Amino acid sequence: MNRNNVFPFIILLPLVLGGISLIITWLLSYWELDTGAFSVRTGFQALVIGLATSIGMLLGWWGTLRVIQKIETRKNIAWREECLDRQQFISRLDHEMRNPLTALRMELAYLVSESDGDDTSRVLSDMAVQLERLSRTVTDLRKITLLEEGGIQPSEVDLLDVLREVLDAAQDHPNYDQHIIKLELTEDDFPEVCGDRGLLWIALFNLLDNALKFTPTGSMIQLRAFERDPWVIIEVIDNGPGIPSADLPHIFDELYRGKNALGIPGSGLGLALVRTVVNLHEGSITVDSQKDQGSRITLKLPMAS
Amino acid sequence: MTELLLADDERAITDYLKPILEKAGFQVTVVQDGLSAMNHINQMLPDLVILDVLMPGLDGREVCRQMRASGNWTPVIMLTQVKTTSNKVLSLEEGADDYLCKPFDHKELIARIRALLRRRSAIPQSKPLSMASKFLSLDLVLDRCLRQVEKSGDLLVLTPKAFSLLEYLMLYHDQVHSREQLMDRVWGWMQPVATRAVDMRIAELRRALGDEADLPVYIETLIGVGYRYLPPVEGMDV
Repeated sequence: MNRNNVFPFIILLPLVLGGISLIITWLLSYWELDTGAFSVRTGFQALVIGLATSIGMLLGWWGTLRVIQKIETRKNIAWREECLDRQQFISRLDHEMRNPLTALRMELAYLVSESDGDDTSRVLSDMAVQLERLSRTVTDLRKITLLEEGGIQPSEVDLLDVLREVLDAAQDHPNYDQHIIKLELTEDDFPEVCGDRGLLWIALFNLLDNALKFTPTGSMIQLRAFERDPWVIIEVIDNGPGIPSADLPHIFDELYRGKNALGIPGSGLGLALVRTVVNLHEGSITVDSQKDQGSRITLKLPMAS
Repeated sequence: MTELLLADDERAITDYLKPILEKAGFQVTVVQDGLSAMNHINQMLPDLVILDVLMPGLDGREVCRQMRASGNWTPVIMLTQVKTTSNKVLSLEEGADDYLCKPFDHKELIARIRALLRRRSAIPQSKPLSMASKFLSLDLVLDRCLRQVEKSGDLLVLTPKAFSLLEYLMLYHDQVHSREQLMDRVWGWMQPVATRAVDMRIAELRRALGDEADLPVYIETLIGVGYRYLPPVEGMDV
């Protein structure tokens, strides 16, 4: 639960309930039930009981908040440790693989240059392509962890402008013309977010690219942008086949390829990069999907203050 | 014949990279550590040096620092690991002219060697442009420290990415860059379907510079190939 949402609730609820109970007890205490006469002593007792109730509820809520905070802190520590382990592993993997991969590429390039255009040379060229793909995966994987370590240099970003550019850029996508794409903006005066424009561009493009890749011809893709103070919300909604429920918890993991992704080219890093970019902006990303109904990816970014 | 020094302790790489570079028309000497590289540079005066960052003894960065400290401005290409963003690499405290991240493509290395030799042949034994804090080109002044550009004294309003793109194009002027290469080197990501982002920032730069795609003064489009920054660029230290 978000602390910003809980805090006013915790303060207001006991005060309101305590206040109501205090007023009712105070009013009732004006009349002794048997005589109907006003009693200051009973009224005072009622006031004390009302105040005690308020304080008790306040303490109760405060205790609950502390427990929630402790659970959140433990979760965060565990998550950070997990991230650090992952970053260290990928860093070691990158370090150990970069020289052998470079050597393999040079050896293959040498063999290709020495071969005389026969079948062997074609096989070698195919191997070179696959090796390049492997090199790219290792490099991109490392770049994601470097992003996590390095942070961003933020400036104020007009997300609507970015969205329009992303939509414009998507026109080059081979599947663009086979889809119905709608941009729905509910605000005229859209708030800016504080972030890295280039990274946000890539994150939003990746979301749209994903929808274009994984929904069949004729599907509708909706891009929605609206504000829910203190958040700016971007939604990418499609009416495609949906994401299998078993894949949902993992779609933002590095190199994860869901059932729907089999046979469709991709590195398995696009959504992981989106998640990293969103985390760097202290936002959140969630996915909601139903079989044969479609998917909704919701991206929440804090408004620029 | 142009003489290159290739310094890398990984024999599995140098054993095959050497003949590839020789086939491309260069004379190549290989050394396996930083100290041997330093000795060779001082005695044999190669035309260009390729240094691996991680080497026994002196590492590649230290070799480059010592070269520059002694006033040796021979062009240097650094072979790095993916460790920092391109901007950080390009701050180039060590004074390298260019860098390539391992695992690299041999064709890209050869293209960069040729481009660097061509650029530096105009002003031999000059400080690399990568070490300059300002770039001067026609009526443009690009301040790398303040990250701002002036045209005829007027400040241009540019997005951070457009600035980085212009900085990159000016640094590697007179060289054609494909959209994919620019995406990789300036954005830090290579996404073939997202290369339209490059076109958008180029369009932004053209608007700010008052440049025309049909009759370019600054940025030329080579259809189906990429972009090139046309006018000469001089470096200036503050």
